Amino acid sequence: MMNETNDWLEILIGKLVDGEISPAERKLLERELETNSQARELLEQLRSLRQQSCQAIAAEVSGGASAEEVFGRAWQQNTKSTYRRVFRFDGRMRFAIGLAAGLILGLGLHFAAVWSSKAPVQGPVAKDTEVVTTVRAPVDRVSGGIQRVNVGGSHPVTGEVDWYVYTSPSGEQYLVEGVREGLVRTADYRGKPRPM
Amino acid sequence: MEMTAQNESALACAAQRGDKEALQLLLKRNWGWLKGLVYSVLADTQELDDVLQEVCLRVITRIHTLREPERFRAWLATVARREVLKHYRRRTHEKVQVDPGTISLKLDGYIRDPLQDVEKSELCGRILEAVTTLPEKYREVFVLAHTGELTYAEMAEVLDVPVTTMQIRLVRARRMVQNQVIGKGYQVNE
Repeated sequence: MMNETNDWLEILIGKLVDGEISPAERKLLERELETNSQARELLEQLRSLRQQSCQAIAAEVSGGASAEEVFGRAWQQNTKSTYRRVFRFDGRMRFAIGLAAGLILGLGLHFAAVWSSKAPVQGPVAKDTEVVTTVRAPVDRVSGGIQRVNVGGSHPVTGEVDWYVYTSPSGEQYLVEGVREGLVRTADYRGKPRPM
Repeated sequence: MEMTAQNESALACAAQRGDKEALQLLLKRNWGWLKGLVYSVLADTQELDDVLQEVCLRVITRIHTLREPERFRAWLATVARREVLKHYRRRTHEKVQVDPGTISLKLDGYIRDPLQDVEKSELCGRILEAVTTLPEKYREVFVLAHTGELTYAEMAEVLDVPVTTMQIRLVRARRMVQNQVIGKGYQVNE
């Protein structure tokens, strides 16, 4: 077991073998070494131990990949994991994305339906249809000789069907039924003739 | 200005801005002692490269968290120690028995005389065996001191202890290794 004096001496000898000793400490140690044979022996032991330890540790850790190789692999690994982090969705993220997609799709379908139901009929397509009768109902002009009839109140009317009055050049009126995509067909109407 | 002329603090700042070359150079400069530190905690060379890669990866992803670029070395040591400990916990630790034959092969570059070769390889094997059985704080300082790359002040910085504490630990570590090599066992005043 070492005492405090030996600790101090051992620190100084250690500093000497490691090349960390100051000039003042070197002088002090040299004086001690001149008179102390145990200190000289310790110095030799520590010098030898340091040399052997440096060799042993250098040999132990000198193998393996170089710094550049290891860094390159780590950099590549980081790039891959970054890619995975960006494109990896957890449960909540998937739910949110599904919800948003459903909402957008639903809104899109809703507006498409509204738009198609309000699309104007192109031209007087009812020209060749058979005359049924004239209509007694308020009308508003759509285009050309076609007028939209606002059939409401107690009449059972399907929302997807528009009713139009077509006035021919000779002054005759036709009631036509407009269905989707500009198609029209003759209407079944049993009312009184509208006064012209 | 060339990269080699820049100090570590400037390199650390550049690395924080995403400069890959600066980061690579920074790690390359500190590679020797970093490897020694990782080895000292692992007490094994088999997984050294894997752990060093984990350390590099952690440095790449966390370099932006370095608050004091002038203390990069201490930060790197902390990161390395944490990564090694994480790795250490993952595996069931087994003390590696050092094979003197393996050591003699590794020491080819140092030794010329065949007789001396055998003696020295045996001695080196005994030293390494003694090192692996040291308590961790002594093993760290012993390995760092014998990688020959750091001064006392730098070792103290890496170990995050005062220089005097580091010196005392080194003296004790040497005494323990010396006693172990000559067959006396530990004689340390804690």
